[in-house]
Amino acid sequence: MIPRAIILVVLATLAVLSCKPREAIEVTETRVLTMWDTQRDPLIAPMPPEWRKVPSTQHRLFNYRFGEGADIGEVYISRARGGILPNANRWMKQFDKPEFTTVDDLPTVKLLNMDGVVVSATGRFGGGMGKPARENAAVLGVIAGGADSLITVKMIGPADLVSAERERLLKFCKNLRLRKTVEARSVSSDSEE
Amino acid sequence: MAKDTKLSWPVRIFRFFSGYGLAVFCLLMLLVLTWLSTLEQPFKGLYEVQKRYYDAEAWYVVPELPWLHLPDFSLLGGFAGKQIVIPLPGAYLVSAVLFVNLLLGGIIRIRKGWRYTGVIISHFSMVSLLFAGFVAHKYSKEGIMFVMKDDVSDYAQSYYDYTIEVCEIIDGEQTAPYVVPAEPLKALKPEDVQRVNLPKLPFNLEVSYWMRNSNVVKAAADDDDPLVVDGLALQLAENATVEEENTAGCYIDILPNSADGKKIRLLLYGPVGEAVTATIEGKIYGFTLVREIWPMPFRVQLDESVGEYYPGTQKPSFFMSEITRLADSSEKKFTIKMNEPMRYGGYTLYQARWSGETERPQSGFAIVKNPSDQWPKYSLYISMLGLFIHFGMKLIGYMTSTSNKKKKSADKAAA
Repeated sequence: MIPRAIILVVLATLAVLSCKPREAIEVTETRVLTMWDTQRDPLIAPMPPEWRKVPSTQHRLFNYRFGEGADIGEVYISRARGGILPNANRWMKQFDKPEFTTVDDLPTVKLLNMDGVVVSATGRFGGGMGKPARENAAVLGVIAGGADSLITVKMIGPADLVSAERERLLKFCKNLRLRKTVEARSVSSDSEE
Repeated sequence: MAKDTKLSWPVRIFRFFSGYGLAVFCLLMLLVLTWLSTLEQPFKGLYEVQKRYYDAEAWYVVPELPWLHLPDFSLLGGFAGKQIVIPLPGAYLVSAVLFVNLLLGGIIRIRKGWRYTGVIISHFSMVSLLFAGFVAHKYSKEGIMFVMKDDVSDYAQSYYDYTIEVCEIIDGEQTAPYVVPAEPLKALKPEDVQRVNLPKLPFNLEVSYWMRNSNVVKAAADDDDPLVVDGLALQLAENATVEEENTAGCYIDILPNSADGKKIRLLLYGPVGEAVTATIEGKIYGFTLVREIWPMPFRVQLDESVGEYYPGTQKPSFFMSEITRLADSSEKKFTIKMNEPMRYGGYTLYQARWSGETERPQSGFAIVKNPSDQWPKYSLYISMLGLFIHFGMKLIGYMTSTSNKKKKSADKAAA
């Protein structure tokens, strides 16, 4: 009799264990910060709470969205080459706008201690970079740097949304900064040269 | 001697668990499990096989090998080509039974006396070896630290296990993250929903559609499908044979504590490795699905990284690293080579990877923290001592009896 009793107890225990509902996990402790957290991105980009950060892509170092549903806009930071004027004109071309002959007359804003040129256009976005064409769209962006190495901050989306986010974008550009370790490294490599 | 049928049940159970028969069965079973798991490894991968055969949760295992399928004969009807199901006990369970068996039979039940000292010591060493295995299985931790030449690192990352990290982002910089541990996450299936309570934050989480291996696919940004987030959706992928190649993904629903808070769904994908954000009560929070980050109590500065590949391959034939260990305002230089690790504060650093194609050479250090790291070595020393005593005594006994016999026969001859 005893073996049967033992078998029954074992089976009952197994049945109870297997039917146990999934318990909630409670997390109260934090992990200490490591270089994984503090050294990975050379750029610190304080974003407005109205935006949300989404995964970066091959061409977008930092990638943000704002708005909801179908009416969403995008902001992204990229590296570029080829000079400020050709890049500004590429953006104009996407909106079928006349090209600039010079960027000297365009407004500027500080971007990583450089004078960034503010470029904007409104109208029909002709599509490109995997995005479909869109009516009543707008672009607002800042381009800074030299011919070999440019940084661009570009906002694109429905015209009214882009207009509403203008101040936030300009403030975002002003607040971008390099990590101290990156600055120190670039200073030391400059002095070695 | 009393017959077994006359014995009480506790005595019968004690005899069963301390018997030779069980010891032989366990040892044979471990041999079979090791053999089968080795054969299965090329098909399933090391991680999967370890999990199926050796995990504490693996109470039983059904070997899945190509030659364990019935032939594709029409005579076999519905069974043709089907897998032959041979359930075997899991190696962890067998080891646990063997531990009990050795403890009861080899130490408690064994005949006591100075003649058996060596055997008892050897049995004790085997018990301690199994116990060391248990401690290693339960408490050891392993990760990898990659460092480029002239760089410093202070963390390792798990090879396989993903965690979800939640942190507040202030002025663009992340604060110390809350970490949803890997253990409950890796047990999830795509159909499970796991609640995560974060009492110190103004929201809780629900993790759903956990995929051990997944891909991200593009979808229209305005797609109403609840599984499309910001124009992206997760797609379940077949598990890779090499566990490190699996890229986990999941969805999390952020459930704000405030009554007017709206549920926010985010898509987390392992390879991204950076936070996606959501704003709750005016504060920005970052959410990351990342292979577990393991902070080290010291930093490793890679001063030199040297290696060579086998000709025409990307497989290193040799590698060596010169490092400086930075801890508690002290610095110490080490050379880590193949089979020559650095040990410090319970951590062991082995060089496991080397890469020379990157801008600067890079070393990958496997870091292991195992409280029972040296126990198997001590167990073997104890075993050696036990066997030395046992066979020493046997030898002395033999020599004594031989000499006595010779003496007796010499005395007889003299008489």
